[in-house]
Order: sequence, then structure tokens, then C-alpha cells
Amino acid sequence: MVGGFTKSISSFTYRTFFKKESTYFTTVVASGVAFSIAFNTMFEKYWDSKTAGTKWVDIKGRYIKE
Amino acid sequence: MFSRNAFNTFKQASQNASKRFSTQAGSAKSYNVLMGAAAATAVGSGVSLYYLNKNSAHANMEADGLHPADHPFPQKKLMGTFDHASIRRGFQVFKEVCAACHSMDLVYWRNLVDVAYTEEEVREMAAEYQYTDGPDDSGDMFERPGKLTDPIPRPYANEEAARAANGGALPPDLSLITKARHGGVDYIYALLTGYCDPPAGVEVREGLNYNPYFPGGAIAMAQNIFDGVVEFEDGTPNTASQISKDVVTFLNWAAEPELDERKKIGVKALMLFSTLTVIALWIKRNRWHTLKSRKVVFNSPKNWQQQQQQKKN
Repeated sequence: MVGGFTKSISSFTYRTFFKKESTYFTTVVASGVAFSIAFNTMFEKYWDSKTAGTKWVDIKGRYIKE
Repeated sequence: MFSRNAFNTFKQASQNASKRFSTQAGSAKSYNVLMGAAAATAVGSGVSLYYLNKNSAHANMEADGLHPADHPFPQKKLMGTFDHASIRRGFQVFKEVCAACHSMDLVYWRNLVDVAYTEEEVREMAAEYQYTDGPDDSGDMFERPGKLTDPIPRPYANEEAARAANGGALPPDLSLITKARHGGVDYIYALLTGYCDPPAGVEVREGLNYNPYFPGGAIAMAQNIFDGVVEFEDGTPNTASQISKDVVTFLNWAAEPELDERKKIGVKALMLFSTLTVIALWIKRNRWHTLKSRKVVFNSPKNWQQQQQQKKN
């Protein structure tokens, strides 16, 4: 049986993820991985649209011989 | 003995001076005003002197070379990258016009693959040149067609040969030229397009050419880029300015091949670090607010006896 606790999202988050060092560490690493994947994917899309037409991959179609 | 007297006098004088110049009690505002005025004077005088020096005219400005104009090369912007079609055209210009005199020892055929040419194209281009290769089984050097691992071929075997063929002047290696010259791409472009007749009274000796952008005004290289010297395969109009722009872009790539990747990583870094800085500042202020807003009260010993009596009562 769990002891008395505040019924709020922040309290829930604290108890489940931040209270024990093992779960805290796992949370940090997992959110780092997730953020990294998400940020890199979104940034790549943004960067490719910003540099569209100037990169080698954009012009190489003209020079590939079948 | 005399020096000790002088030292003591100096010490007295500086102490008196600091007493005179120190602010009175309760004038933190005037102290801040004084500090602000001092800082403004330092910064203002530094900036003024810099621009006065930069924009002044003097009798020997020819030695500095005419300052080149600011051209809108896309890779110059904070988040700008290369136009790879321009790099491809620029390499064609280099190969047909510049490689006759200039070496590019630090660029290898393989560096061009997937930057401006496909691998097959580079293999074909490299194979057009003959390279001397290591001793064979009987100890002789032999000639073989170029491979991807070979450097862009040198026009002259060594510096002496280059000087002999160019009237004593050495055509510099162009691998890093845009980083090696003050003014960078703007300077090289202005140089290539800036040939003109010397102004009245300026004599340029036999063998040299007048170029106002070259420090000293007299450059050994003659103008090589004119309208139509190179035919572009993609149909781009081959004016002298277009040819110069493309070859300068190629030279910039040769000096900074990592530019595209560096700018990409740089933008990412700016975004992430600024966010993390804001978060860090907020966390610091959050953790410190208890300490910073606490009140400390001094209980003077004068009050101790009174407080003892009050407690008894």
C-alpha cells in the first residue's frame, strides 16, 4: 500500500520517475534519446528545405549515366 | 635612501588622491555613474580610433590594395551553404584556365566525388592525366593514368621551374587561397575582374600588370578570364563575371570543404546552447531564490540583557 501523496501530475511524475536515482537516470537517458531523434529529424527536414537545389544530391540526377 | 623618500611621498600622494576621488558615503549611484562614464569613454575612444584609422587616407594606400566590394556569395551568410553547381563549373574553369600555372596540391581527385562530380566522372577525368609512380620490380619509375587517390596534377615539378616559366614570379598554390588572403572570396573575385589601365602617372614595369586590388598595384599574373574563355555544359552564360564567380566558389570549396557540414552543425549548436543557457539560468535562479530573499537580522549584544529580562518576565 502506497503512503499518502498529492494527486497531481507533478507529484505523479516525481514519484514514478524522479524519486529513485535508477528511474531518474533512465528517464534522463530515454528522453535524451527521444529528443535527439526528434530534433535531428525535424532539423534535417528544415535544413534540406532551406538548402534545396544547391546540394550535390539535388543536382546529381543530371549526371548519372544509366 | 632618496628612492625610499620618493616611494613614501608617492604612497602618501596616492592615498590622498584616492581619498579625494572616493565617493562619499551612500553614493552608490555616483559610483555607478563614474564607472559607466569610464567604460563609455574606453569603448567610445576604442571604436572611434579604430574607424578613424580604418577610414583615413594616407599617401601609401596603394600598398594596401583597393578594398574589394562586398559580393553576395551565398556561402558568406551566417547560415549559407555552397551552390554545388557553381563548384562544378568552377572546377571546369580551374582545370581549363588556372591549372596551366597554379597547383592545388591539397585537393585530391577523390575529394570531388559526391561534391561536384559522380565517381565515374572523376575516374574519367583523373585518367586523362599521367602520373609518375613508384619503382617497379626492376627499379624504374613508370607512368600510369591517374586514379582517385592522386592529387590534382601540378603544372610545374617544383618552385624553380614555376618561377622560370613565369618571369621569376611564383603562381601560388590555390588549395587554401580564399583563407590565405585578406578579403577572402571578395578579394579573389575583385582581383580576377579588376584588371584595368593604370591611372595617369602610374608606371608598371615590363612583365607586370596593373591591378588596383593587388597590394602594391603591380601583379605578375595577366588577366586570364574574359567573356567566353570557357563553355559551360549546363548552358550558364559564360560572361567573365560568371566565370570568375564560379571559379571563386570552387576555390572557396577547396579551402573550406567542410563548410556545408560546419554551418549545419553550427545552427544546431546555436539553437541548443541558447535554449540550454536559458534553462540553466532559470534553474540557478530557482535554486537560489530562497537564499537571496532571506532576511538576516543582527541581534546586538546591547539587546541581550533586555531580552534576558523580558524572557524572565
